[in-house]
Amino acid sequence: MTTTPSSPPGPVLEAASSFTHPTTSRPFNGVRRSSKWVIPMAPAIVLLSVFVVVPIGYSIYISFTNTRLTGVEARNPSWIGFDNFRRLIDSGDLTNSVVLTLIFVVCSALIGQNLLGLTLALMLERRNKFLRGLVVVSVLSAYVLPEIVPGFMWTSFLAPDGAANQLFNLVGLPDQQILIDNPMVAVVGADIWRATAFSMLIYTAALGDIDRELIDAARVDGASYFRTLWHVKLPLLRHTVFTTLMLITLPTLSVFTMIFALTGGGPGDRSETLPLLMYNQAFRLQELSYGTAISLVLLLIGGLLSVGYVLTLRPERTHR
Amino acid sequence: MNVAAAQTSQPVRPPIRQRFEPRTRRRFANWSVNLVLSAAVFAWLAPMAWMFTAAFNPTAQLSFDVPTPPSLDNFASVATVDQLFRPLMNSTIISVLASLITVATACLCAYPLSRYTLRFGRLFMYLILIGSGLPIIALMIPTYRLFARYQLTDSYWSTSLFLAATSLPFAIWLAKNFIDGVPLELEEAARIDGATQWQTITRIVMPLIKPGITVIFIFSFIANWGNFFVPFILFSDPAKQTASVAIYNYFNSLGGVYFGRVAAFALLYSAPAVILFTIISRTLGRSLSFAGGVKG
Repeated sequence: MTTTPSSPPGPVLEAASSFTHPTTSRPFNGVRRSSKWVIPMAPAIVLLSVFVVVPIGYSIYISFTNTRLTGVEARNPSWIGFDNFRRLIDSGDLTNSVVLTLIFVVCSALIGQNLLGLTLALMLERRNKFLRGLVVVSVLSAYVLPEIVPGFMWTSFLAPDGAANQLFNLVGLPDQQILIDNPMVAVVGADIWRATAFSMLIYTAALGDIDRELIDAARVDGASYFRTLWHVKLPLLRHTVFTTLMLITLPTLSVFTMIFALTGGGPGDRSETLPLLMYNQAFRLQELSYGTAISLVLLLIGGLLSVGYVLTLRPERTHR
Repeated sequence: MNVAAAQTSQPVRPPIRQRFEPRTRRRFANWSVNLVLSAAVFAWLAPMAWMFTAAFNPTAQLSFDVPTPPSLDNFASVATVDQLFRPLMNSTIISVLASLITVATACLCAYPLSRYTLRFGRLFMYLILIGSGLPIIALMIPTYRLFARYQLTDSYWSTSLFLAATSLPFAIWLAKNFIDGVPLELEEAARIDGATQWQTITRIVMPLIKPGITVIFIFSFIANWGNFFVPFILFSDPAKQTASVAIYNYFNSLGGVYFGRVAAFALLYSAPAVILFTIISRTLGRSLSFAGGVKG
C-alpha cells in the first residue's frame, strides 16, 4: 500500500509531483474547483446555520418584542423596543444574576476546579499505584456521570435528613441547612466535585511531559520540593494553566442542570445565575422575550470569552 | 532519589544529616500526602455512596443506611416499559441519531478543510473554534419558540438534528485534527496506484481515522446521553421523555416514597456513559499515532 517504487518511471513521477501540492494543483478527477468543498461541507454548514445562526438572529428579534410563552402575546407579539433590556437593568435582576454568575465561575472554575485539579495532580505524581488509581477513579466517576445524576445525588446528600448532616453529627456539629442558608456554597461545592476531574487529567498529563532531568537537576542543587515546584514546575506549566482556565471557564458559565436540580435558583434569587434566571423568566414565569434578552447577555459574555480564548491561543500555530 | 549525585555535589555535609533527617522528613511528607489523598477519595465517594446503598434498599430514605440484606426489589419494580425501558429507549434513539449525524457531517466537512487551502478555510476554523465555546444553553429559548411554531417539538429527528448541530463545532475541529494526522503521502501513493478520489477516502483515510471517528462518536454520544436541558425543553409528550428527564420527574413526584427506585434507575442510566468512557479512555492514547502508516 505505502510502497513507493525506488525508481519510478517518468509519467508516474510527473503524476506524483502534481499530487504533492494538492492545494495549488488541479483538483482530483477534474472536479470543479468549488464543488470539491461545497458538497462535503454543505451538510455541516446547513446544520450550523439552521440550528445555531438562525436561533441567534431570531433571539435578537424576540428580545425586542413582548412575546410570552402562552396566550395572546404568544401568537401576536408586538414590538416594544428596548423595554426588556431596560427592565433587565432597572429591576436589578441582571446585577444580582451577573454577580452570582461571577462568584460561581470564579469560585468553582478558577479557584476550585483549577487549584484542586493542580494540587491533586501534583500529589498523584509518583504516588503508589493503588492510591493513585483510587483517587483517579473516584474523582473521574463524578465527572463521567450524566449531569442530572450528580444533581439528584447532591440533592439527597444535602437534604435535611441526608448523609451530609449524618456526617456533621458524627463529628459533633449540629444539622446544617446548606441548600437554604448558603445555596451558593452548595452549588459551587457540587460543581467543583463534578468537574475537577477535567483539570486534574490535563495537569497530570502536563506534569508527565515535564523533563524529569530538569527537576532532578534542581533537587540535586539542593532545592526543596516547594522551591522546585515554584521555580521549575509552575513556570513550565504556565501555558497549560492558561489553557485549562479557558477550557473550564466556558462550560462553568453555562452550568444549568446542577443548579436547577439543587436549588432551582433559589431560595428566592439567591443562586439564580444567568442560565437559571433565563430559564425561570422564560418558562416558569412565561416571559419568553424577557428570558431571551437574558440569554443574549449570556451569549454575549460567552461569545466574548470564546473570541478572546481563540485569539489568545492562536490555533494556526498548530496547523500543518 | 539521586543519593549518589547528592553526595557528590554536597561533600561537606555530615553524612548523618543526609542519611536520616531527609528520610524521616520525606516519610512524614509522604504520609501526610497519602492522608490528604485519602480524604479526597472520601470527599468524592461520600455524596455518591447514598445512591448505591439506596438502590439496593427497598425502604430507602434520604439518610445513608446500609441495607441488610441488600435486595434487588427496586430494580425489579422499576423495570417496566413506562418507567424504565421507554425513557432509556428514547435516550438511545436520540443519542445514536444525533451522534451519527455529528460524525458523518463533521468528517465530510473536515476533509476539504484539512486537504485543500480554501480561501475562507482559516476564518471557518476560527468561527468553528469560537462556536465550540458558545453557551448553547442561550439558544434554547429561540429554538423552543421556532420548534413550537413549526410543530417540530416532540420529534426525535428535529431534536437530534439540534443536538448534532450544537456538538458539530467541536467535532469538526477534532475530525480535522485526525485527518491532518494522516500523511498526504499515503493518499498520493494510492492515487499513483490508480485509486480514485473516493476509493482513497474510503480505503485509506477512513480506516486510518477510524479510532478518531470512534472517539468523536463516543464523545458526542456521552454528551447527548447525559443532556438534560435540551430534551427537557423540546419534549413535552411523556412518551417521548428521555431518561435524564424521567429521573428528574421521578425524583420530584414519587421520590419521597420510592427513593430506592429512583436510585436504581439512576444507576442503570449512568452505566452506559461510564462503560463508554472507560472504552474511550483506553482508545484515546493510541488514536493519534499514525506514525506506523508511513515507511521510508
